[in-house]
Amino acid sequence: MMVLLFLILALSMLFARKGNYTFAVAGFFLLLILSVCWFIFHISDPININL
Amino acid sequence: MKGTGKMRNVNAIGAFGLGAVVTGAYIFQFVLHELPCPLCLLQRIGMLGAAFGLLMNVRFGLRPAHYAMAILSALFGAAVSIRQVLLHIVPVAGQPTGYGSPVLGLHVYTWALLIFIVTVIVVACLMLYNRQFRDSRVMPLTGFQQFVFWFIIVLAVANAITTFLQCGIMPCPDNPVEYKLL
Repeated sequence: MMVLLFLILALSMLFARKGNYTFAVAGFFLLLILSVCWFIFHISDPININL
Repeated sequence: MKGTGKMRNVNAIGAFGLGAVVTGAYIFQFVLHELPCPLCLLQRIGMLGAAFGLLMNVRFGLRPAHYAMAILSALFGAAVSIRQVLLHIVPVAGQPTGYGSPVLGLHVYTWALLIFIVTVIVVACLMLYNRQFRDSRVMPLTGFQQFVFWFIIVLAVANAITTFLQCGIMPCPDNPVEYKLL
């Protein structure tokens, strides 16, 4: 899952580099939404200080 | 317009600074052999995301929306850092305090929180300069701006590779001590 997030980030940046504004912005917000979901998943876990 | 060019360079320098911090995290990973936890990886995403927002200004012209992207990403990273700080805020008797080695007395996630707060403040201050938004032409990238763009892209790809080696495609372990795929 975390690998996917980094890949989305890298792809969005490549789209930005190529000048594709729509895909760059869409990739960024997809990344942000998935990251927030992943974070909420972690918060919902029982308290674990080994993080 | 001269002012616009300067502001694009300021954005590129900011993105480079955030990239340098993520590079510093690699020193912990490869030199001190402290593998990143899931929350640490989310903080790296927050930092690279903020750098991405600043680089959008460099590539597509200065717009408030791009600054907003950087702020949103920094706020996400700050939320993750706060979560990690709070997890370790109460010392447990007989156990070392915090997670990982401290740097100048503070743990890495505490430094990350401070950096995210500074990022939000600096980006908000940059937005105060209204004149930059008058000229939003897309201009060719200078050598330094090209370098910063590739620097952040390479960092994102490198993180994808090291995370894959560490965790595979499954969720990362809470307290990683070795690379799963090595």
